[in-house]
Amino acid sequence: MLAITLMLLIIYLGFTLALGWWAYSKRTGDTEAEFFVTGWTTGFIGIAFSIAATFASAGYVMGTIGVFYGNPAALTGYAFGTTFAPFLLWIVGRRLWVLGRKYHYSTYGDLLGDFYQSEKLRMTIAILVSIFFAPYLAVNLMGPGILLNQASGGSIPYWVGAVAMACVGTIYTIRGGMRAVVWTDILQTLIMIVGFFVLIFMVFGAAGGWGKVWADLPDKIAAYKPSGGSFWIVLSWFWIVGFMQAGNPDRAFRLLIAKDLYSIRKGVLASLVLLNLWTIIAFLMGWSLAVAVPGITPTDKVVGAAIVKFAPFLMPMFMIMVWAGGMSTLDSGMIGLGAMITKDVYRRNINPRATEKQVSNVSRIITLACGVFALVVALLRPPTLWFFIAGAAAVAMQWIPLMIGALYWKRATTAGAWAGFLSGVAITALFKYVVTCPIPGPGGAPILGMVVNVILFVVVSKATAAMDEKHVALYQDIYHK
Amino acid sequence: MEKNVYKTWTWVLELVFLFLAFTAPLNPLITTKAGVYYWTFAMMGLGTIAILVQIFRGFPPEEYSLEGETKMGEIHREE
Repeated sequence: MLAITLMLLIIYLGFTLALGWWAYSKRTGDTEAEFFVTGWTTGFIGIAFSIAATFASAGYVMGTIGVFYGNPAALTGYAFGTTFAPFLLWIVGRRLWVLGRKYHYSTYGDLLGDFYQSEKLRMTIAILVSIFFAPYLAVNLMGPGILLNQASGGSIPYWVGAVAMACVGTIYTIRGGMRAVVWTDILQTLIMIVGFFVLIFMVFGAAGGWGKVWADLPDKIAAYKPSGGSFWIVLSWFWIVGFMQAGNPDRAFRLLIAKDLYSIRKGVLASLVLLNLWTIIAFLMGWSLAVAVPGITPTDKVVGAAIVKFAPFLMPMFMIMVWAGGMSTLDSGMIGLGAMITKDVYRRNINPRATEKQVSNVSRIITLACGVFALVVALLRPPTLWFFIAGAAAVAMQWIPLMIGALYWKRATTAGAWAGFLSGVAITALFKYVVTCPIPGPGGAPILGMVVNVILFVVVSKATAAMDEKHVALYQDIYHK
Repeated sequence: MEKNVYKTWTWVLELVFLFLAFTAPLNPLITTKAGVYYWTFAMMGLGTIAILVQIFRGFPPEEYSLEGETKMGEIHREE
């Protein structure tokens, strides 16, 4: 079995590397626009599959399915989030793409720095989001490394899997940039969809079929707690999932890579289908696992436990699924952080006169640095890593109010943006890391952070002088009337 | 300029979706596991309808101009 697993992994890694390498041959030129936004040539399949693959990380394949297994009622909030996310993606995307195409943007920071006329704001946002987001990259190396180590009975050290994945992901991302990320993400999404299709049939069969699963699914976990006891946890899951897609830099920048507005629209629609597909898959897996293998803790081991118990021959396939989930999120994180550090920090604040060639080279060096950082953290496996990872999406979503302000609100001001963003990050970090948040679940701290963020953004903007009308019109009056 | 009623419908549908979704755990009629998931999938359907109205009717792609296009990083800065 181990030999088959290794052979499949080598084939998978080789094919992924080759696909990323091939994607480079389709480039429009050696420019920063090509590296970060595919030279605005991506169609809706690439946009949607890329967002979906990045959403379905190694953590989704193992951890999220485990949470659906342990408390599916609370995860109805997750379902509401995946249905809301495309709505927000279109609100942001339909204006952001036009501005991005016109002014050659490749990060949110590009727009925020220009609209709010503040390089300091732009750099502060880029650095804060990067600091909180960078540890998240490492998780996508850890899951596959741990799984390979366990599947081999300990004969293959943990570091082998982490190093192999980091090398392949980093090499093709450096080579092909966003274009390689998009093409490989399409592959990863297909692998995961097919894999889950097989797993769902396997687990439902093991559990005795649909009728038995539904009859035996315990009310204790599948129904809401009485007297509204599930309200906050449902809201919490909605918040983190609903805002994560437009907030996380590893997927939100896909709104800038489309070839035209119609591709974004179709991409949003296809994202709706794929994101809800992940929800339905997670429900089906969670329900059937709760009946087939009850009582597994920690819950992120439940899929592996079911496979070992009922269909050990599927373990190689599950391994590939976890690796595909990890790879798709790792490469997207590297290109997203690489874009922010290159554009928002180096290009605008360290070397404003950098040529296309210089920016292109620096972007590759920074992408490499992101990969090396992720690998080092994954190898060190600091015990506090999960503590910091919890804040990645929570902090990243704090720039959404500023984005909406830049795209739609004529009274948004630079002072308001500073007040909103800093307070949002501070409150989120406070309730994430320092004091216990009164709202449970992963979205509790960002709910409080974003509420304070929006209030201060609006109040301070109203209290300060409005920005020049002509300047605002450059960003908000972009459509022919 | 002619008023697009679908803009209003987009927001009405989205707000109804969000309200009914968020309040599901408080809804006294949803007491069984079947009720929870029927309601959840119904909300996913309603949210989907809201998005369809949004992207095809309320806020479809519009004509834009690339006049004034700049290269990356060349837009005017006051700071």
